[in-house]
Amino acid sequence: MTSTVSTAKTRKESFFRHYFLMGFRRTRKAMIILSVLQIIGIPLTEILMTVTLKADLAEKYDTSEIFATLTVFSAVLSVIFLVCALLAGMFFAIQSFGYLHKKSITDMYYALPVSTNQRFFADFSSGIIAYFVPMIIGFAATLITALACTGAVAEINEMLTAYGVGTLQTLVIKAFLLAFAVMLMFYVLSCLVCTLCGQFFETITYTIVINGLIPGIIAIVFLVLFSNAYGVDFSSYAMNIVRMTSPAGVLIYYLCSLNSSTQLYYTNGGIEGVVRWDAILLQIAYILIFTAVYFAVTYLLYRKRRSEDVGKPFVFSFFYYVITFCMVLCVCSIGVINEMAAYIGSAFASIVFFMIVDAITKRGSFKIKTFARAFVTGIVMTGVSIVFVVICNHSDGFGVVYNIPEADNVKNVTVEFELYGSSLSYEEESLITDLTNISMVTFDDRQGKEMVISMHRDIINNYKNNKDFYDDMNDIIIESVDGENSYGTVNITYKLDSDLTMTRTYFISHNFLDIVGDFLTSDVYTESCFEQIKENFKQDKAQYGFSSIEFYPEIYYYSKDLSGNCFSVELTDSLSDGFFESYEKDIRNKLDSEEDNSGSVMVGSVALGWNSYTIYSSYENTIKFINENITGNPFYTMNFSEGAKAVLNGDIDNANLYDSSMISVTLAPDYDSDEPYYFAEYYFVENNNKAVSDLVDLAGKIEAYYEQSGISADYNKASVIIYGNVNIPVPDEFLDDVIRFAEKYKDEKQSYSESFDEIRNEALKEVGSQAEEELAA
Amino acid sequence: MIELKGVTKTFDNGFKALDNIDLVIPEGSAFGLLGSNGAGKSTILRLLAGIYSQDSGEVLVDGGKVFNSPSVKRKIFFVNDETIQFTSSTLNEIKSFYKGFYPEFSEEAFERLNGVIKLPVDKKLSTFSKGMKRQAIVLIGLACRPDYLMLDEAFDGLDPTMRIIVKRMLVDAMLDRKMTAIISSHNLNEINEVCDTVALLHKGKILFNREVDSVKGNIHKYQCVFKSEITKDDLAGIEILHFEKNHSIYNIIAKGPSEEVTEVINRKQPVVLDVIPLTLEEIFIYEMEVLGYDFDGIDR
Repeated sequence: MTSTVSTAKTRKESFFRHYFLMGFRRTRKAMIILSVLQIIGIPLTEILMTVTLKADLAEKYDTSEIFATLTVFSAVLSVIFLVCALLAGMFFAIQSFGYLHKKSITDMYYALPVSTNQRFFADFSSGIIAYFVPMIIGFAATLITALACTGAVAEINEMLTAYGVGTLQTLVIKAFLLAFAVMLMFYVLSCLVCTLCGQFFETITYTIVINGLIPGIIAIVFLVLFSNAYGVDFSSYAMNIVRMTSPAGVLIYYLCSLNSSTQLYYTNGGIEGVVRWDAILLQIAYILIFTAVYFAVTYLLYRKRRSEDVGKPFVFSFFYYVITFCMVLCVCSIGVINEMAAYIGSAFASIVFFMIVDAITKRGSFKIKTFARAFVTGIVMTGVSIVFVVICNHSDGFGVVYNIPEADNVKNVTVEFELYGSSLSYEEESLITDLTNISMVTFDDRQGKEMVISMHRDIINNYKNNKDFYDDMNDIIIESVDGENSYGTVNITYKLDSDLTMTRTYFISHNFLDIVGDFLTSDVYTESCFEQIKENFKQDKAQYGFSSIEFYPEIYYYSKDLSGNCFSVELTDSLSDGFFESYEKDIRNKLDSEEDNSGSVMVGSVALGWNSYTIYSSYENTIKFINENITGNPFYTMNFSEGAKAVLNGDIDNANLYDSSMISVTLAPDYDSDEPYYFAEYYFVENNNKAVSDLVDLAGKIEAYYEQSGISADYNKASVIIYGNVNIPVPDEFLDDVIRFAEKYKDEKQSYSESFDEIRNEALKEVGSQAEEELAA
Repeated sequence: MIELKGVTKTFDNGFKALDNIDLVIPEGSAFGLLGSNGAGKSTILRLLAGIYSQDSGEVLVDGGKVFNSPSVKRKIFFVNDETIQFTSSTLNEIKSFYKGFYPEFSEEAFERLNGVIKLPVDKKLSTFSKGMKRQAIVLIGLACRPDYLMLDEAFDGLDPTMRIIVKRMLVDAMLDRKMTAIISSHNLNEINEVCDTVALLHKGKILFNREVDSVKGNIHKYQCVFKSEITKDDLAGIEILHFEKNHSIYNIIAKGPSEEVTEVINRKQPVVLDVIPLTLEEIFIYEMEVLGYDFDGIDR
């Protein structure tokens, strides 16, 4: 009995093994070619890059140039090889499951003495091994080469670490681990399409379609659901799902992460999301979960698929209609989403689109009945799509808009403000400006959570009460309505007990300035801000080991209370604590004060750790702290005359200068303009130049004027800048002196702008008579 | 032994290929499947090979269900009516492929049989003629030494010499190992020559399932000349499949023992009466004619 069972088992296994080996034999040639390409590709690029860098470091620039060219060439080739190896997933899936698309071959395979399970798993594994072997070989070769290269040139890892991406080895490991996960998903999806389709043409086309359709439909559904849902950020939801559901989605996610100009909002985003271990592993876990789902669907469909289904374009008509409906929904929604009035065109395009797809799928069957059926199906699909879009547009995200969690269900909540208007009260705005560095504050205590929830509720109630305002604009995305009329944004992110994240972003419209204002000036928020500042600093210090605290005077303002010099002092705990204490005191005073502090101006900044803290003229405690503690020998000066003299005598480290000193005279007739309208620039090749000497005199007079008059150097009509070192804001009283100075030296060699007269004339044209009068005066 | 019990198979387009079929094929027999196109012959073979699964009923080989059962399927070898699936392989590669699935595979049988038909073993089948490909697959099928060999239009493309050789190979295997062969063919002479039992299918149903000799012995052609003109009704009591008058000669195809039919005809006092045995092909044609197939105008 035992012997019989064991023989049967052995036979079963041997059938599987034999079937697997036969399948593997079919793919081995392609596998060998791809393996060779992977050995050549990236490792060769790594070697050439290292040789280039080594030559650079040894200042052998001729050699470096040659190898740099070769590196580019090799890099392009390795990318091509890599893409081939990645896309080969489709090839290997079709190689393994291709028998499902030809009747005689299906007969042959189904007649073999193997079970459905054995056949599926043997086909699946033979394809995947052939697919993975080249990449595993490539990974090993790349890693070994990386180790060798970083061993030979230690600077490689130093440079990469400086960029925050770790060592070359870890980068290779992370990249390949992610690539393996994506490859697995791509292969499983390709197998799924092989199982869904009964013809080769559909298998190829729908493998491509599915890979594009998954991220496409997710983006569209979220766009449709949430584009008009007040405060709900559909892009973060969509991107979080897109990045884990399809290979193309992963690619889109990383391209977006790496391209800061198209930065999207999502968790663990940006370059950190690409290189952080936890982010990478989380991403891989998500990909594997969805891959498992696709695999399960593939397996179940394979078992359900019958041999006689071969030859049908789509074996499971349900999936055909699901896929085509998704395509129709995409086509239809793109037109309708932004402009409901476009529904006729969108509907027409969708119906035609479906009929074309259907005609291709049912090729050869050009009967009126088929045509009519496709037409009706197209109408139904388009109708459903339009109804879906319309309902979503008016549903407030099916209640998601009004969903505010209870404090008991929230682990913590983070509030982030970004203000760019000037309509808040002075305190509110300056507080936010002061605390720009920590505009993101996280509350995990009950009081803080309830306060944020209360603000959130007020914002939603405000939306409810002003719905007409938004409904009037029903053909435009709500964000843009607020966006055009807003003074900034408030972003609220709840981390729920279930570990899910819920994010809302609201444009601060005139409707709820008060709501935000009350929150910003509350004690709870201010306290949390400072706790956050200190906590952030403590963490950063532990990680990066900051060693100094620095003071920089503001270049556009002159303060009699603060030095015009830049100082750097060795950082101690008592210094950082002292600074935060005085800074917090000043901010609290400002908030508590009944006085109008709007005349207070920015006079400098203190650099501590990664952050820089703005100091206003009204910050008495901080100014006192700076004068008492951040002093000594300046490493840099912003005193006008001293600075000019230092440049003249070559006393200041020339690191910030160009080859020659450069004096720039800037005329800015309009106080509110962000940029001066015109400027003249004069280059003085020699430091010991009469122009510099004259400038020192002029700077001395201006400085003395500030000291004597006691007024602050405001953003004036003109300024004189010695690049990188001295910046002299010119008060009105000295405007003519500066113009005379500029006129006197307008013919100085290398000056490139037109004459100062021309500048003045142009400026007058721009600013009109008022400025003309001012300038004349 | 092969048993089909109440087997029904309907395809997605609604076509009922088999309608409640009952069939028993004894071990060691050579079983022929006859029928018009779409009668269900290939469907039966595919059900027996485990390629299709039936909608209802049971398909049993040696008491075991075939579909998705490797242990049963390894007793069966199915030769498809196409050979395109093998074109990119050599005969040696095909041999290696099947050898792993059929533990009884006999290298000796392979060499011996190929010694007769002399196919190149290292050339791809794409370089073979249609007949050579067919020989190659039958050769592999025989070398696998299955208990049941299913041949779907297996003799297509074979030249007369090769037909004889392949038939002999089949018969030898049946005699040597009591192999059961199930053959579907449009060439009724081949069924006639090889099979001992035959089933005629029509529209998914079995019209008859008998030994070839009994089929042939039960239907005869009676060529007679009568003194006076007679009609079909004058021969009441016999089952007439075909009645045709050509000048004074009557050609009557009738079912039943020839003695009984002769007795009825003799009552009309024929001047001439010849009893001619029919070939299986003629029987097939007359049976189909009764079922409504119109052969008029087709050159027999």
